[in-house]
Amino acid sequence: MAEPLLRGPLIIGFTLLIAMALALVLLPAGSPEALNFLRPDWVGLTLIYWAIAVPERFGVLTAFFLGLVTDLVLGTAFGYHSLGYVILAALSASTYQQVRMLEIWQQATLVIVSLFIVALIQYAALTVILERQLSLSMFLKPLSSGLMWPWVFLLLRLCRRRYL
Amino acid sequence: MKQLFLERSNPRNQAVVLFILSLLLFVIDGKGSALDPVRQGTGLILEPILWLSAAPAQLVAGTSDFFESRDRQEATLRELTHQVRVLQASQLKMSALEAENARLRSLLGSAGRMSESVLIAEIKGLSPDPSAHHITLDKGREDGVFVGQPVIDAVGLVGQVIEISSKLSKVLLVTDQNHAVPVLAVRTAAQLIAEGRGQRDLLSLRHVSASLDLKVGDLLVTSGLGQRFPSGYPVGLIQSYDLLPGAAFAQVLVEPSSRLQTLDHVLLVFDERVPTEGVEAERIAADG
Repeated sequence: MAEPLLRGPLIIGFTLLIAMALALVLLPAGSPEALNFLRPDWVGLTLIYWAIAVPERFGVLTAFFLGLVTDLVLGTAFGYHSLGYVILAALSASTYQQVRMLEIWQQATLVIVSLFIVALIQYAALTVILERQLSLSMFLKPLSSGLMWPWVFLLLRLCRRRYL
Repeated sequence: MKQLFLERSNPRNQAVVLFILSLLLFVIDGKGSALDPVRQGTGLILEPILWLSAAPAQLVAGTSDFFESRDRQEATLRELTHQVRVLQASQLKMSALEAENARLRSLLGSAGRMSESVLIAEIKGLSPDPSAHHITLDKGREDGVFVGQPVIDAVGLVGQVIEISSKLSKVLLVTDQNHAVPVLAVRTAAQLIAEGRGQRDLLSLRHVSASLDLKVGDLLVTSGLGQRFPSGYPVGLIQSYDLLPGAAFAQVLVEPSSRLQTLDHVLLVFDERVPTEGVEAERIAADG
């Protein structure tokens, strides 16, 4: 794990880029809006994985800048995603030793809970600061993300073992 | 800034600082437009990601076209040929009427109507963020598209361009919560403002005083005030009118004219007063 230092950060960046492209995939014109809420937070999931697997390389500062880039790509107000990702990274940084020991489905539950907390904070920020009315269906996103966690986890673990 | 993080600072403090920084940015960007130049400047870098993300939607559209039966295509062709004939016939009358209109207007001494031309654009996809009503079009700066440009479809106003890159542009729909358009009720010539509510099929009217004469079914068109949208494009029909006893303003909901849920092609409107360099050949003269 110590030798190929150059490949390490690259694979992290690459997986994040893929996640971002997935998050941005536009729906075909005319598809129902409800589909949007069921889309997992791909970038968030990837972030959680790396923050737990290699906490020494993936801290809150990285999460912050990742959030800013996500805001830029998705067209949300600057700070919206970085807010959430800083929280996710901080949660992961303080619990990674315990989380690594858990079963995948237990991790998935934790992922749902932490993404739900983030959604609550983002919801509060949007409604209080920007005074937007939002439908509560945005809280479906943590659920769909949690269901995707096992697959994301296994795939990224494969990446880490091979390239990191 | 960099000094703060150079030595291994406590990650919890770091998180708190970054959290507050995010909140600050959020307030600045959400409330004002100070950071807009940053977004505009990075449009070019984002283009490859945009193209990549539009690919699946295009693939779906492409394959469904491919598997469409021959019968259906023939039927569509017949229908379109028929429509073209009908439209050509009405176009004949149109030019005569237009001339007459211009003559009458000059008699009245009022300024002539501006003529507008349009450019057809295909929709690449819908925004992945449900709280923002955006669509991405396949025309950009190279085609002469500009920020603030009005977008319509065959039946009404769709929205306006908010971001452009060289080959793509992003359109804010009239139903977005950040969108408002000055409108005119055709029946009574009342000037109003129609706002988006964040729902795909509804707009609402702002500050409708109780004494104003409005009815369910009234047609609203763009009034041309504010100089952003040309006047006369249908915006919507009044769907409901509620006046609570004692309330100063009535609650009026409007159903948008354009089929915002099932859009596939839209028209970018060029006002002839502002000549833009672009591919003139591709533009189709809408009137005159």
